[in-house]
Amino acid sequence: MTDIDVIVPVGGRTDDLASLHRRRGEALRAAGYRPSFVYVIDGEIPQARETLTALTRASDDVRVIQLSRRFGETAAVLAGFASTRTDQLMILPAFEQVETASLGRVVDALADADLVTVRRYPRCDSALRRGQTYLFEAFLNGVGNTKFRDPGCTVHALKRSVLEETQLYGEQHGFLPLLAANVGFKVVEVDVPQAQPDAARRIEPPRTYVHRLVDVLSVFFLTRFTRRPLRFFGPLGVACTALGALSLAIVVVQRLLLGVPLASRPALILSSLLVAVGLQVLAIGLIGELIVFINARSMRQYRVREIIEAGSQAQRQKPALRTQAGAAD
Amino acid sequence: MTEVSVVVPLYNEQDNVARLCAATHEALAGMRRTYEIVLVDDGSSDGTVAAAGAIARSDPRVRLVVLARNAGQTAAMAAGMAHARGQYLVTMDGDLQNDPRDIPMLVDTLGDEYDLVAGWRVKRQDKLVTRKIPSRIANWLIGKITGIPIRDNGCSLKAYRASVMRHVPLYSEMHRFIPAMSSIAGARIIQVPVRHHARQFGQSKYGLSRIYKVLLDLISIRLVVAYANRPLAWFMKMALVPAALAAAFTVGGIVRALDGAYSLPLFGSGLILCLTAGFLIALGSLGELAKHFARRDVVPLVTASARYSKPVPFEPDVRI
Repeated sequence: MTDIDVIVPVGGRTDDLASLHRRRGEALRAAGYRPSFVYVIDGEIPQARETLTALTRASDDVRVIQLSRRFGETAAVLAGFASTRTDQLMILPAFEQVETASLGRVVDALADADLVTVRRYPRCDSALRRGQTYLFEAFLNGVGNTKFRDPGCTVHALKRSVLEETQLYGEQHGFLPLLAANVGFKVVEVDVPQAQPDAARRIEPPRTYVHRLVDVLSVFFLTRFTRRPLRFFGPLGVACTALGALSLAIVVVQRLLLGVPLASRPALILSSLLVAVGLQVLAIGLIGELIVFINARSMRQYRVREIIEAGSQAQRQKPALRTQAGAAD
Repeated sequence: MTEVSVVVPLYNEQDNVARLCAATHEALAGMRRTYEIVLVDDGSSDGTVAAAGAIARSDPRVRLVVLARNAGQTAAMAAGMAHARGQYLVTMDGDLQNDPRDIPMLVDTLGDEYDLVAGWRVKRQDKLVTRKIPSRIANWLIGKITGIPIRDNGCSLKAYRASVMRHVPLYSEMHRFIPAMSSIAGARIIQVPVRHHARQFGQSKYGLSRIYKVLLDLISIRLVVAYANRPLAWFMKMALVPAALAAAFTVGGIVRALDGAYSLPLFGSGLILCLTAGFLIALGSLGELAKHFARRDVVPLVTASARYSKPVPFEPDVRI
């Protein structure tokens, strides 16, 4: 029996936690694990709190953490993580997203991976929802360089070191596989049938989509350009400035040589605006470069998987994150 | 106490690694200094880890650092340097194009006089159009822009004093600019001719497309070096340009207005440029803030600024 701590952030959609808890516990025990659940209540949710308090009295494998206000899913996961002890962890949503009986299989896949992400397949929800997932996935794959096919699925099994070494941002708990792979962890994807209740979920408010879009864009930026901000801002700023300068030159030539009056058209203002915006974009990129330069020695650039030398066995040593700061010791 | 650490980043070099180690041992046998070879596997997808791992397990002078994924040549070098124990560091390509027989000479040149000895592939064995000419342009540019006229920045065969390398920030694809970067830290630099062989096994991984990235990196390094120590002052200087233009436009607008012809474009442009100047100054303050909150002990800038003002000893002439 291997111990495994399961983190369940309770914030958004919540199903009947009591029965879900029982079934998840059974599924994991059947697969040979001894689960211990950490429920993190994100904000004031009296109903969930009542159910969970009852659960803590009924069984000894439940801990409940109540956050003082709503902090978002990522904060909830990290708060739960702080109270876990096992080497292998699981993060589950507070509703049945994938077939509960298969959870053991998800954890099993950790044997040769650092993080296991789940793809809901086969799906049983409507074509509309599937289309939505497909679009989200296509968009994310386009901007984020990922190969994970179901970024909306928040069922993850992972090793402790993943959460210790991966920087999570904002609400991006769903992007954990992408961010972890970016740090250098081995991420695998397993197919698990989608659960019936997941298919029945409601259509989310537009706000959710806006949040998701913002998250995708920040992940895009964070994974691609944090090391070289000027590579992102540079071409943008140069293009803008060049366009403005060109149109400025045309306007000036027209005014001075051809005698076309300036006052009656906005071309001058428009071109100065372009130049001004271009310079500002460039300047922002430069400030970014400065911040990177100053902090270069504490940046995570690489992750050492193992060091092989005479006398060392062909085993995996405890993965240690090396930064350049380590070199100065 | 190890004196010399030879750091070799490897990326898909399964055929070369055994020959590389053998050649290095042979070359360093007569050196009379203790040495180690630090191999860094940069997320190879072939049998490099197996081949290099077998050597590292059986040979106490060889260590292998395996990176979790491909992190790029600069990061691989940084990783190797972080795990090297020698007082002198020598970096070298893993594809046997550099000749390990040059290493003793590089280390001897380092001696007490220099902090960085850069190799210069005088008789370069590469294709003219795709490799040599772009490289010559890049080196000329790098020399002009950074002020360190190294003729072969792309040559990996270099020797460093380890204590100086600790002050050189290595990130992104900075390994090309190590001489320029280390001159900020006050390094004494010299370049010497080294041998160069044509590639025997495997594929070359660099091509023409890198020039654009090199150029952007170069500009950012030059600028960062220029303003890193006093961002506010630098950005204020930059703000002078739009501010002067804004003043000119406004004065022009007033003159026109006195004539009785009120000019919206002139006043509008003046306003925009004035705002830009303000924005640049605000960004400069932000840079000052970022610098202020940086951890002093990891930032070499304090010593760098003191040293940068002094001329960097550098001999452009060839020395053998």
